[in-house]
Amino acid sequence: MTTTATTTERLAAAWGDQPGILGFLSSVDHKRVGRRYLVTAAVFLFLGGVQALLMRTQLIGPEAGVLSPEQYNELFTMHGTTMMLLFMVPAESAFANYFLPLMIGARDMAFPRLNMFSYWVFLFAGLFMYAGFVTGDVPDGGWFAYSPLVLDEFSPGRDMDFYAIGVIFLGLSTTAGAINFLVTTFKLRAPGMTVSRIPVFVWGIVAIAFMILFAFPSFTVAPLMLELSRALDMRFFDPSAGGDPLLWQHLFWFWGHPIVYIQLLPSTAIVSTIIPVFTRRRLVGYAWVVAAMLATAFISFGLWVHHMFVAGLPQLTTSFFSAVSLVVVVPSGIQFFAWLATIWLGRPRWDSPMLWAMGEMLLFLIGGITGVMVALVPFDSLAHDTHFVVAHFHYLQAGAVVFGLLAGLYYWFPKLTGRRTHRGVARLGFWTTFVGVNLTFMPLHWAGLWGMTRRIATYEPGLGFEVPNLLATIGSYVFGLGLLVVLGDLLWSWRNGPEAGPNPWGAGTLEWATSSPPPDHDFARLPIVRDRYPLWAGRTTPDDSGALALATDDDLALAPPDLHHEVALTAGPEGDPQQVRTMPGPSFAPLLVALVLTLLSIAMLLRSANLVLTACGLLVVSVGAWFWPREGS
Amino acid sequence: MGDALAEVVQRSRLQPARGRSLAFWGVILLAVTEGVLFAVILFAWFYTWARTPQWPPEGIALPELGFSAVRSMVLLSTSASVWACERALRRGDRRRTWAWLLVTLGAAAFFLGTHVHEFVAVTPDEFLWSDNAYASLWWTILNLHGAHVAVGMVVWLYVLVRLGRGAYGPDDDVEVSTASIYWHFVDGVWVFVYASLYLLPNLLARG
Repeated sequence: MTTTATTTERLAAAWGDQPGILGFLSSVDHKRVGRRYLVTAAVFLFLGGVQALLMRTQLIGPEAGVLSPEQYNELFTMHGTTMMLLFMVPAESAFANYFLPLMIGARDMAFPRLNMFSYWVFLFAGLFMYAGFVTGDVPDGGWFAYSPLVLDEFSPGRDMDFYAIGVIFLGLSTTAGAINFLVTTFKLRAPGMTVSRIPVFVWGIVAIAFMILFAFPSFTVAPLMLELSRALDMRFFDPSAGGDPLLWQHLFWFWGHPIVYIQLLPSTAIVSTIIPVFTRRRLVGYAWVVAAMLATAFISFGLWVHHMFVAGLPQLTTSFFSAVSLVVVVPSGIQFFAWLATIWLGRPRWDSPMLWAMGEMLLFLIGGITGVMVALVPFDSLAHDTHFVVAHFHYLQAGAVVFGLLAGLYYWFPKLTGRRTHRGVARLGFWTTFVGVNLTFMPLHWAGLWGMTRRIATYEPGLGFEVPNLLATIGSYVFGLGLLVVLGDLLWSWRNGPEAGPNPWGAGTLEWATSSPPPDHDFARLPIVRDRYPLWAGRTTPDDSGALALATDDDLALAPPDLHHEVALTAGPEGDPQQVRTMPGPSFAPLLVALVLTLLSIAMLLRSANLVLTACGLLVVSVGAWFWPREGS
Repeated sequence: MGDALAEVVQRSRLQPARGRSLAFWGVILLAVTEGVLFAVILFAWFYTWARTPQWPPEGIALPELGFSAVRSMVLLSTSASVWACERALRRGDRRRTWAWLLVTLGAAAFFLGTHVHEFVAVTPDEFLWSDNAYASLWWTILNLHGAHVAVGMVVWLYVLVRLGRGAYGPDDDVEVSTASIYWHFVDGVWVFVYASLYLLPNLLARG
């Protein structure tokens, strides 16, 4: 860094937050947003994990009597909702918020305030859904919430209202985040970052952001209809009034299948990011991998009926969706072969991120193979609603997605904290988790094939379910232990790990071109990109030492050093510089609007028209305050 | 390219910004996802229709096509008035900017007012939202669109207040043009809503 101290000071003054609690509440820094998403998602992972362990304890043997059936229903509902909506998607938002701007050489997201707003809404929606534990109305109709089970007649009380209003509220956060990621990638790429130089992780986020824009409206409309049915006695799902309960299932799974790929794609994109770094060569088939991710995003909208094979739909319909479910294997296979070829042609080093990435590959493979099995209508008719399906999707969600996220966490941990983790403990954590996840979910395949159904609080003795269930319960404890080892390693290394330096892995993408952790303004000078791996520019393979120097000043050419709170906008697929724009600074408005939305959710929960109208009025005022220009700006 | 960037930085400080704003792309993507929202709820409308022997069900008259057509024309004409408002602003004609903005707000208020009047006063004599799935969908879709019109009016009121305090000009029109994209979207959605809820049932019933 050859910029003068005064420039750095001026940049720090322009981009830093004010100290103390006010700075904490008004910050819009994308790195702070990312860190908050990460910590909050980890807390929800812990809560969802405890729920899972309670359920596994209940299933340790036949008729164990640890939980009542009512408690079991509440736990599997909250476990599914927590893991799908409050852990996996936000954990990916964490990485995307922190690293997407860094990877494309930008100083912030396109809409910094909207970004912090997304976080606050996610936090409050999560708390709102968990508030049922305090009031005693825990949602218990399943995270899939099928009618008529969740209508007033069979679910009296407010339990499913917490669910329906909470997910509508949360969808706002996810959608705002998706728009932000897309506009940031369209417009804030460093000059020279053409579409073929966009890092593959960013492509993964672009793919899921488009999926969110097309999938989440369905999961706004459906819970809205559910809530209107419950609160205002509307009849969408009531066959006696011309409605149809299957309409819910179509709307739910039109969102519910893409959401699986929304969770999986960033995880595979992380693997595609990590493998080149630890095999010391460029990703084989970059364009194919990107095309495969976009194809997966597209095809995933044609799969939803495979969740409804036993719902009594016409055979032509189920055949079509069965065929599409098989087609989606092709792009996944392309990614696999690209990874294998990269490892084959490179010189792999087995650092901890690489171990987790390999774990992700193996678990993805197993879950993918059982996915092909349940895509076949005759097989699914037998396996539907059994623990075989539980085993299948947990290999993908608890296996591939979690391992991909942990691969990313270990990979980017030095950038997040400036420290390195402990090699031995990291290995112990990996192997414990890996054994645990397999010991938990592999035996459930057999339990399912032998006929053990899901979502039932216990099972009878003498049906052969005892051994697989005992193994699965022991496995779940090992799984939990492994994650605790990981947590301990990360927490200890955060304070005590050795200094990492800017680029400890010798990686090639731009987030490693700045210090660890990055300064408030990310980059003192805007990078100019001439290569897909800018820090490897001019080299086909980096040198072995791992001591890759930062690219020379010529490679990262300069922008005038006095860019205050400014970012450069670029245009078109070539990333040509176009204009300079001053970004909005810290503001309390995002927090304020999120709080008003929480009030609106509570008003809807209480079914108070006056309170709803009051909240809407406050919403208009607070959003107005958000946009109203401040003096002197 | 370093020189090109330096040049851009210099020029940006001296001249108004070139190219599309960030807000433009943001509101376009908002319109995409909101468009899907309406597509989904219209899917629910047609799905339910396909499973019902008579549409509208027994005891509910076909939607009338007289006054509803007038309301539709009034709403759609605001796309033109918004366009005229933007053009006046770019030409620096503040008087016309004011005039077209007020025309837009007035037409929108007429559309929303007649909608609310039908919702609370006219139709309850004929059917309530809790009568059957048809009525539930009818009112959910129309109120959802009405809510979008209301949001759009709040946005235009914000623009009105800002205009009154001397904001905006030929080089400072991002807020106005962003608001107008959203407004064209709300108008465009009405074409699909009107065709699905009013025109098609009439067409097929008489066909």
